[in-house]
Amino acid sequence: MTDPRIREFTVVGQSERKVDSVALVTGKPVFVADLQLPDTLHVKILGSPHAHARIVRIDTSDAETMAGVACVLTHENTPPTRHTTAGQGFPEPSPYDTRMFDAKLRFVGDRVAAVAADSEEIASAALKAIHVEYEELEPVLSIDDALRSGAPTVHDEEDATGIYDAERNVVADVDIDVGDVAAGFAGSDVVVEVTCETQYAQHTPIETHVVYSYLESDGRLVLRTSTQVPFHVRRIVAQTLGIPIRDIRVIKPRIGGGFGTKQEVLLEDLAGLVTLRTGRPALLWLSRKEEFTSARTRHPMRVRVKLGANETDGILRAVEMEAVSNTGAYGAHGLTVLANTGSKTLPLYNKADNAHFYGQAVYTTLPVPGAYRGYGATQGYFPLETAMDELAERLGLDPIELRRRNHIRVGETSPIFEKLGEGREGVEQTIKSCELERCLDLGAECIGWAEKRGKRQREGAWVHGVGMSVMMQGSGIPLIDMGAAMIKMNEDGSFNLLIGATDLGTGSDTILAQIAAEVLGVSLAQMIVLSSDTDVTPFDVGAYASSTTYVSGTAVKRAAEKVRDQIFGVAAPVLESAPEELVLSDGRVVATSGKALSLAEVCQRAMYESDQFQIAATASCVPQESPPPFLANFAEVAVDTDTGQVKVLHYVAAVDCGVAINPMLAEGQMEGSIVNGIGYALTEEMLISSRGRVRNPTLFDYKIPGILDTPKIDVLLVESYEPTGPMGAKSIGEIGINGPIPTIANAIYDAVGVRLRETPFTPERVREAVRRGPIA
Amino acid sequence: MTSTAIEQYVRPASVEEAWAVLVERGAAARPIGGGIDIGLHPTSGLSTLIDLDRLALSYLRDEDGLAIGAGTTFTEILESPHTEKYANGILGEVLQKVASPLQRNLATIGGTLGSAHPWSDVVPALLVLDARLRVYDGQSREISLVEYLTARATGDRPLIIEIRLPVKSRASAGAFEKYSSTGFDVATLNCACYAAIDAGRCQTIRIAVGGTPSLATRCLTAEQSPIGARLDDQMIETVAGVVAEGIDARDDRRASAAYRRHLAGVGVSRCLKQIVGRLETMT
Amino acid sequence: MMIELTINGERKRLDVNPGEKLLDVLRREGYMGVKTGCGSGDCGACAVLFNGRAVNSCLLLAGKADGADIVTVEGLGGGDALHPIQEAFAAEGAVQCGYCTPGMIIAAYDLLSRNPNPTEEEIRIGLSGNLCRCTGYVKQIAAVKRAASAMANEGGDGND
Repeated sequence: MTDPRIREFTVVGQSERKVDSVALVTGKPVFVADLQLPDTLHVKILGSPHAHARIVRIDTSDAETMAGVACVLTHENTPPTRHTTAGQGFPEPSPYDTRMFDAKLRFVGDRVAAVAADSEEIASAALKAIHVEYEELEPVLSIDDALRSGAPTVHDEEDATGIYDAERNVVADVDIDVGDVAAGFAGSDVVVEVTCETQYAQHTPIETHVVYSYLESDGRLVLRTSTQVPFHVRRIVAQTLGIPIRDIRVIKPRIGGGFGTKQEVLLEDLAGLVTLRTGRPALLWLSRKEEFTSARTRHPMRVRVKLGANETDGILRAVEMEAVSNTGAYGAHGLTVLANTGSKTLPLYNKADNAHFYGQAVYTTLPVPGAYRGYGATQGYFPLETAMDELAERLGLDPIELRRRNHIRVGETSPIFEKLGEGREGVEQTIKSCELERCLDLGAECIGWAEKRGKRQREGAWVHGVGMSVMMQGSGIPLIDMGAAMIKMNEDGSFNLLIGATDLGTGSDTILAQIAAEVLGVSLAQMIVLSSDTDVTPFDVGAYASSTTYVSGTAVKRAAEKVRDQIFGVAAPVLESAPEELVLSDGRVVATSGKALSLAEVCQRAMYESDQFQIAATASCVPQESPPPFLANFAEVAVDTDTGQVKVLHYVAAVDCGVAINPMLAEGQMEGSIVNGIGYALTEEMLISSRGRVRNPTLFDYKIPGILDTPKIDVLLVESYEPTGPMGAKSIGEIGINGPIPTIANAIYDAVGVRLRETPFTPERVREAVRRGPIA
Repeated sequence: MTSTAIEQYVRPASVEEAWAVLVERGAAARPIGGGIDIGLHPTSGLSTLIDLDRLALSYLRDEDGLAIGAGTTFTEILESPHTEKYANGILGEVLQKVASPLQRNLATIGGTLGSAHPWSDVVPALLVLDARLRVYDGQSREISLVEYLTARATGDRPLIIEIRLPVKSRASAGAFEKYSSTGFDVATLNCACYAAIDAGRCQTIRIAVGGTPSLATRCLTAEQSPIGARLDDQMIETVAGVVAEGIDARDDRRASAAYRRHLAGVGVSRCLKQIVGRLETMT
Repeated sequence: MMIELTINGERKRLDVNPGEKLLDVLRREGYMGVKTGCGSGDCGACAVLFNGRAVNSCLLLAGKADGADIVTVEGLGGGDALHPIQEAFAAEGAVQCGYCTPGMIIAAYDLLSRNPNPTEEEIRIGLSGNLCRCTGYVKQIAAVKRAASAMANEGGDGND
């Protein structure tokens, strides 16, 4: 039964093709590195060979005098400003612990020096001509290493700020309480406790990080960059280089995926400085190997969950989550990912009167984690949803039933919303849309839950099992995120839509244009979208926290409504109607009398004929809450009991994202995040040597799912109506990636009776668990 | 990533010419088939590439078994009707699992033997098929694949001209198992088996395990026990056990030695059961 | 060294380093539809047709391309018209960030030129050398099926 508030829309709700799809399928030169400017310098970075070291002496004279070398940068000739690379709103909730170049190196691959030269070959040769004397320091290679008493201090510099306890390597410490968990557990009939460990994994966007910088004819610096956060880039580069914001322009063209790793200012300061010092354009990109070692990763975490419940009704009485997060050599996103681990998980089970979330993010001298789709929730749902599976078994309840009895519902709240946000207190909110019940019904039917659960159907060495999990995420960061949109009208009845919002391939240009087109009563083709250019488009925090549809979409809707009102103001006297009695439909303004004007006529009048003015409006949105999308995942797996190989045969994701602005693109988001999550669950693992070096920094050795590895995937869009969202929409960008780990873990348990606590579930690990544990 | 160390790219019109360049340049020259490995792993000191694609070595022929020109790409082998007919199509079964179609369109069978990667799927398959190679090193001669690999390991590298696979009896079949992380991946471990069975008893058997992580070799000890015996489940488990114990397994990034040993036993067991099954359906 | 080859139907004479990869040559010559994803043949973003067969251009030595017929994604379709495979990718939502798309389309072109009516399994095998991080491959399989159907109806390869 669909919510009656979900209207029949004309453009919204249609699976329109992405506005950039033709350019992309024909291979047009629309990506950062597709630009070819004369005199371009090629920049290469010398990375630290040591996990922890000081630069005692660095001699760049040989490199500098090499023919074709334009400049060499080190800590001796670059600004020392401490900043964060995290692309977050100002003031960023991440420590200012990073220098462009530091005399101290904190992970293998950390910046030692950079060369800009006429060609990549010359730049690479020049790197070899830089002579560095290092004083090696004791590395910190794990969370336990970092917290050990007497451990080396990773950030011992005087001028870092925002670190919780630098001496003890603790970047962030979070501790929030609701009620009294000790009493809650004491009073529970059944208590389940699990501890899970997740691995170093990486986004591996097919396009690595890349930036092309150059000077405009007026001498301003332009950064054409593969980023999710153009405005944060502008601000942070200005800060780092000590130049005014007005002297920088950041443009994001088409980019080849982000998934969070491009919510970071990794290269722009460097290329920008090269251009400012030499006057020449500069191209800087990370090789695939550098992308692995020196870009960003998922936060490896150890997370313990304890659940207590009553036998009588299966209601949770207490929920406790303790998370320790390895935030690597720099603290970008350390606090916020840690906080999100609890803030996007615990509110789901609001029936528990007692809850406790606490944890720390610690420095190590290892590759640097950052933002990655799911942002801590992914790591938190592993122990939470596997503990729930175990609790269900102990209570003699079907796992689905246990979720039904405990999940948050419309009209309800959780004290966690207020107590735990992203890095600081959150915002109180009440759930206004939630179709999780229908998600559970439809998903269970689609996977064949009743027929398959507990059956352990065998096919030779393969045993089948099914598992499920539920989750929520958020839609933007309330009271903090802001997105804005500007719309101006053209005299043929078309509109320019200028948005800061960042399309990583997600299709935000398209869905935001659909929202505007819907309000303005025109087809999508009448919207001309320009996005993510800090000189031209209004501000937007960028693509993260699942904010674009909900936050930027609301700004677009408001701007379109203002433009609509201006259109009515122009048309009303001509149509002899009150503005309130006009409607927009099919490219025309229509009065109740039936008289109509085309939009072209309206704009011509406003542009050339009478009381001329530019029909245009800007609007912003700061969200007051973060309405969660909800997801029920189901998976059927087959486990080869001889080899331990796990095959996912069928994966069902029933998701409530509110109203789907573009169903095809919404499905695409789910399908992509599910497959990424399957890789995270089964095959992806960055291996670190005893010297802190990444042992498998190639796509040859770090295996992400290819088309041979994917199951049958069914995405069921179960619409709800979110009254605070544009046209009833919420978000869908991240939630899908949280599902595979716990769902597959629970399915493996159903198949072979073993509970896996460490990802990825490689064949060797699974086989070992089966060998040791029950299979019956 | 430009490799300016290479100064010369020659395409000789004859085998003799190719060999002459190799002799002249020594370690500074390398013959290439698809050229994939040079691209991926350029060796220092290499300045001349000898592309053999003008030597008309792209063919498959029914000739005392199957003769395959060294310059034949994997895709060409997969698409040839000869491949399906030889030894019940075992070669196609193996090649389908190697690399990706993009690489199979470029990689040549001679080139892959010249590279002899430890994870090679082709080497164990050819070992159990008793492959011989026609090579040229100033003179044309025929050697076994084992002889070639042994010589190669000591730096002695004749040019491979042709791969020759002997006639197989109708009462024989092969099987191949490859264990890897994702579908497009090199082997964590691979097993190839080939057996001839007469009146229910095993006449000949060949077993090769690779990716241990070393390059595949024949499991000669394990090949002794089933001769003259029935290949029933018990014999298969015995053979698998001997293989598992005998392989040179080591820990590496992909897997532990213990797990590899276990996989070798599973793989051989599965291969042999598949062979028995195939022969049963054929009679 | 000088090489002579055909790129998207145009005869070209190019000065190349013998050991460099065709990927770098193509991008230097302005064929930006050919993408750099890994440089090691593992992602397929750089795929081009080499004498009618899809290969990783990051593995193809420039010297080997002498005398060859090369087609990049820019060479499919004619003028303003999209090739049916391009059209199908756009229509099915198989394009998200688009970075893997040219390589996928080239691989699909190779597959359909030899197997005009592939099963889903054959489609998966045909695209198995092309990695994508955005889509989960679901809509790409749908796109190849749609293209196969469209090309069968057209009775040609779409390049009129």
